[in-house]
Amino acid sequence: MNEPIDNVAFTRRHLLGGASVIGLSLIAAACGTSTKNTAASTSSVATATTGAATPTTAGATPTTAGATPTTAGATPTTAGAGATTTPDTTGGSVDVKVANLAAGLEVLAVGTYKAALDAATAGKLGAVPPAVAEFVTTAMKQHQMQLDAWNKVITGAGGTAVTAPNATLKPTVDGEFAKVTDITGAAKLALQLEEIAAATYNHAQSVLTDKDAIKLAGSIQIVDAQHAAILHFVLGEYPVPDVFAKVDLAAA
Amino acid sequence: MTLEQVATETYLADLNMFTDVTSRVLMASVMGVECQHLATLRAVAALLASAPDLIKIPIIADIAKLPAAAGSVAFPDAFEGVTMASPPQEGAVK
Repeated sequence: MNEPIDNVAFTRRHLLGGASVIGLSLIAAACGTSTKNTAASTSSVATATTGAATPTTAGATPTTAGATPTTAGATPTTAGAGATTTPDTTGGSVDVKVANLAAGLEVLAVGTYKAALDAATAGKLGAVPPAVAEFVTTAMKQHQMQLDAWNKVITGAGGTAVTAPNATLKPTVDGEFAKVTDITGAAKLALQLEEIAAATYNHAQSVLTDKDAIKLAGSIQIVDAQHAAILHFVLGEYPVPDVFAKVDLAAA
Repeated sequence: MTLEQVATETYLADLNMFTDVTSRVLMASVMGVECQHLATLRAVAALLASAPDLIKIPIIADIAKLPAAAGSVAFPDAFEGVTMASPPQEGAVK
């Protein structure tokens, strides 16, 4: 339980290798219209800041997003459904491809939290602190709601709801989960997943075109980053490790 | 905490106003940190009211003492809303 964070039995390389593939998938979804955006990396923030230094055009012509806010925390029911999507040359739309990618990640998250909950219930993870049990239950429920939202986008665009986990990351996550013997190990694995998810949503901003899909991805990125913050705290780390949210976990 | 929530929700509300992708990703990357400040402050506020001695890093040795609510208070919803977002006009140069 008190294992130092530096003694992580598994390394981020395992999961990040898979995450890189995901990031590349996002790029592929953009069909060459987007190179990897590394705005959040230290080296590129300066460039990005330059681009953001003159947001007057966007600010001068606001959409209704800020003027007519939705109810806080409400499921964004119209997000991306029937979206005005940008077709790509490989069929389908970029936004729907991102939605499929996101849904696969959410299925993986729900499944991993469920596995952790089952293992804890079976006594395989030792004593489970009440706060950790509450975290797992809440995070699993929220990822399910996020999955439902993406599936609504997909089915709204005529696609089939995603029920299978991301095939790239699943084998690695399963392998790492098999090594988990306590709550600390489970929390470390959950942190990897949350950081990959948050980074992927952040990176998705560089390829999404539909305004509702952009907002949906942003609203989920926030919650997943907050999951990560609490996991950092639980693991004995400062909960806000970066000045800018990273995208390198989503694309190498 | 209010400041962080307004910042987080303003960034979220403004994301889809950007046409420049670089600016949008930058805004998302800042939003991703503001929201963690918010999460941390929510947790701290809850602990201040119930167990202020547990506001510390590292917490691992005392993790079993954390109230159950500490596991969920930082993210009350599955989707962040924008009810507290400031409109772009608010920052316009006049």
